[in-house]
Amino acid sequence: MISAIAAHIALCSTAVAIATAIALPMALVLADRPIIERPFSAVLGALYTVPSLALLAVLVQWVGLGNTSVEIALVTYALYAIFRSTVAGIRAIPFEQREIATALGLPRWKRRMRVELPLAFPAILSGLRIATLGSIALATLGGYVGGSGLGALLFTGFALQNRAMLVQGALGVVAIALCSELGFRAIERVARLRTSA
Amino acid sequence: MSVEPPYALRFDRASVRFPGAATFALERISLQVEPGELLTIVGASGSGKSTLLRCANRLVALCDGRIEIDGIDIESVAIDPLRRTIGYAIQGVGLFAHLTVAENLALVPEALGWPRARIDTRIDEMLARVRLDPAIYRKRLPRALSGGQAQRVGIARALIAYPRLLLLDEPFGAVDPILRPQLQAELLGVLREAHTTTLFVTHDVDEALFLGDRVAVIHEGRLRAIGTPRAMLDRPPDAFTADLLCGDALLHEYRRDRLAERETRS
Repeated sequence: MISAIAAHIALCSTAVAIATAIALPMALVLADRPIIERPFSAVLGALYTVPSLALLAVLVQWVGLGNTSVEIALVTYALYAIFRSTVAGIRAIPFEQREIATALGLPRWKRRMRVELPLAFPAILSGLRIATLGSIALATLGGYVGGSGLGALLFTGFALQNRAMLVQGALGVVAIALCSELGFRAIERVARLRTSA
Repeated sequence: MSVEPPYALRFDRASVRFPGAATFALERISLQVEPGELLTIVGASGSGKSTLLRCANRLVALCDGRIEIDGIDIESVAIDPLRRTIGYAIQGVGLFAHLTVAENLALVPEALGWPRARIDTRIDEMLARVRLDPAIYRKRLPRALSGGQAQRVGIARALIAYPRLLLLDEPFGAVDPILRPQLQAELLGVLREAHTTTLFVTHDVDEALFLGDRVAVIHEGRLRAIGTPRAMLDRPPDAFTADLLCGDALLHEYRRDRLAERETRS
């Protein structure tokens, strides 16, 4: 049970970390370039709407059974929430704050990293929270295609009609999701307090 | 031998027309500001006074004419380095909520590449100059400051990197009226000490008359009048300026008396 929870957390946190490493810099670069941002966002949105089982089925054909297929699916779904929340967070910064940063003559990268990124941080955290919750739920389906974690426990429980395994798997997923939600909410509260005037 | 221009800032037929607008936001504004001079710009809301200010640091682009700082066309130099030489403070201050007072003050010096020790010394110097104890206020976040303290920090940030020009857009507009005269007096002291050329936008006629070395009146994007407060009150050049600056007979008398008081003091 503990090892299944650890594997589930590892699967999800790796996916969210990879998605953040891709989506966050892309959003920081594209937030002020709507001509490129819109089609990029549309592609991520389209991927997000693909049903998860269908995506896993396609990935299994290419990559094979196991954690790699699950990880790719999790990253694909997490990208959209993180990208959109970062872009929205930067665009929601009050005009006068952005203008002051411009008027002070801060170089573009410094404006982004020192002023805009911290001010957008609460919105980015919201995206990370949604991406993490989505990953925790979706990773359970990964058990169907040979992924590790609580999904494996649940699908084995289904196959063996083992109620104890099913209950353990379900409670484990609920516990991880609740902890993640509460943790992110707490960090978000602190971040909003820090960035509010 | 190079000859310094007699002015620190010059607007030469500067015009602004926003995209899609039928009329000019600013139309053929020509004026000069001497080194160390404080020029107040007064006008009603929507008159174009803030636009005039924002042209000087290229937040707003001219559609015609030119602006020179120390004889150099501002369009001919790189935009971010230009802005680092121009202090800017606005109503409501514009301090960044997530940065401490010291971090807010350090932004421009850091961008200029000053060494850390020099930045720290200058922050303490500027805080002391605006009457805030560095030991107490350095690490405070803006939300832990009163309106007056935040305004002082805003002025300190605008002046920290020895700007060639200071732009102030209604800096005391959001400040408690009881505190305003004290902040105005402090600002004058700091500016005189630093000998910083300043454009000060306000819609408060008294503030324009009693702070400025000269006053410029803007109306519907045009410069209606410019001159010393004394000249404006004694010989307003047109009926609009007379109406705006002098008011009724009683108010006119009061303003002339207050100005005489100020002239005697200085």
